Amino acid sequence: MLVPLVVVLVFSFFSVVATYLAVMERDLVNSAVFMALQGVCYALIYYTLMAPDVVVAYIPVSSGLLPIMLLAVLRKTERYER
Amino acid sequence: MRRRDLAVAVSLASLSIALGAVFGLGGLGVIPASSLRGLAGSVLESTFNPWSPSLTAYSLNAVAAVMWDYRALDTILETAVLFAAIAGTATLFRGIREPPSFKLRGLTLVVKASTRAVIPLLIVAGISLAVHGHLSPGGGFQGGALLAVAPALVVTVFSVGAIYVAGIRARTLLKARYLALLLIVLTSIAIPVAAAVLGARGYVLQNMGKADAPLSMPAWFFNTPLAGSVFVFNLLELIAVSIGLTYCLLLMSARMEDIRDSLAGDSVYE
Amino acid sequence: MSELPVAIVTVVTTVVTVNIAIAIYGIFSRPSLIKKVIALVLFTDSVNILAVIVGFRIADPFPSPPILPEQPAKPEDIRVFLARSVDPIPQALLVTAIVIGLAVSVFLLGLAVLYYKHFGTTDTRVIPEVEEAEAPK
Repeated sequence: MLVPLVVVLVFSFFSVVATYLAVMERDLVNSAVFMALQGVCYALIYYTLMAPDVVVAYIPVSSGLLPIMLLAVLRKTERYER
Repeated sequence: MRRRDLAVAVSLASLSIALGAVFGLGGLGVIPASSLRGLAGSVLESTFNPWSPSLTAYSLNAVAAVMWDYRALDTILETAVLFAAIAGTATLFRGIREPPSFKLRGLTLVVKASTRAVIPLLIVAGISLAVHGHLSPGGGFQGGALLAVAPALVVTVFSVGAIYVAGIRARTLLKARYLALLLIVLTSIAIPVAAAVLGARGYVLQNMGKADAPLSMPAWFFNTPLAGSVFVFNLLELIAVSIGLTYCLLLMSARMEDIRDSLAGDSVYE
Repeated sequence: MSELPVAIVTVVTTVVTVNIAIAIYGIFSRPSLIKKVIALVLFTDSVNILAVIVGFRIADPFPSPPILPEQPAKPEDIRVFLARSVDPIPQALLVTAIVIGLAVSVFLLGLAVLYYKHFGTTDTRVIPEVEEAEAPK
């Protein structure tokens, strides 16, 4: 019965770590990977909050389409900021 | 990633978890409601209710029923917002030159072989999510987004040339998307037009028959519930969303020398 | 048995608030256009979780998702379903919000590519100088 609470604790911890590293990172390819990681953590939080339709809508968008489009854009513009 | 960044991130995360635990144990926590709201109660009661046939939507998935039957106008406007964004992106990238159809090297053999195994699974899973959208978690947009990940993987692993060699052009994708959007509009006015022809009443975006508008979309498929217009909208939204997102992906994957500078203010076409 | 939903909702609310703060800081403090788009996506995702929390409820063992597992055989099955199910309306609005967030992000990424093509840089501290240099023409 404590499995939802443990899942929420562990994955919200990882989501804060991933968000902070995605914002502070200078190499934007690493930033895109951290964004996909944060998407996975949020998908598990949505699952624990009993929203399966949102999970199935959120996973392809945040961990599939947006990182791939970001990598295609980074290939054309600058990869490192500053 | 520097060690200092990781240390700050871990300490920030532990601080927020500890703060949440303190709020929860100290009685200041967020307390969710103990009972459903009235609107949610009436929606859940009538989403599959064969004993009250004038209010029900015959859909086991309450979220799909809310999206395409009870609040279908919101979803049509959301489709319009996605249409506006894709039209804006197409305007920004106007005058783009078609690249020559050759295949670049792509990634290594191991990655290519495993991607060839995964892509049929993605396509089948996306179509299944959309077709079963009224019976299990899923729906039109969910299936369309999952189906659009397959060309994204092909562009990453093989190359953009693999899509052009297969004969897919960006302009034909846009025309197919316009056809799907037109069919969505026609489905939403199908019942009032048919009812006007037969001399009865009908409402725009109507799903099941009401007391004063007896015409309804098909509700059963042999003995599986088929939620009428929810099923039809799911299929059309699958086609429209997957084609639209593939079109945006093809625009983003163009080479920098094929893009024309459309912010320069002058005419882009030579 | 209402401590488990209260604990889950409190922890998620606190963590999501911290994420919103980090994402807003990222939008205004990093100079690269693409980093601003990444931070905007993080901000949108974190706000969407608050919408699901609005629809959560306390139910006897644990709440259940708003989907009927099988066709109800008698009207009491629908009563049982109503006693445990979560609110479906915020979840439908949330799917709409995810689509709109994706639409805005795709358009902003396209705009960033064209900015690089026109100005030669994606650094927002350098773009005003380039704009002033080409304005008097």
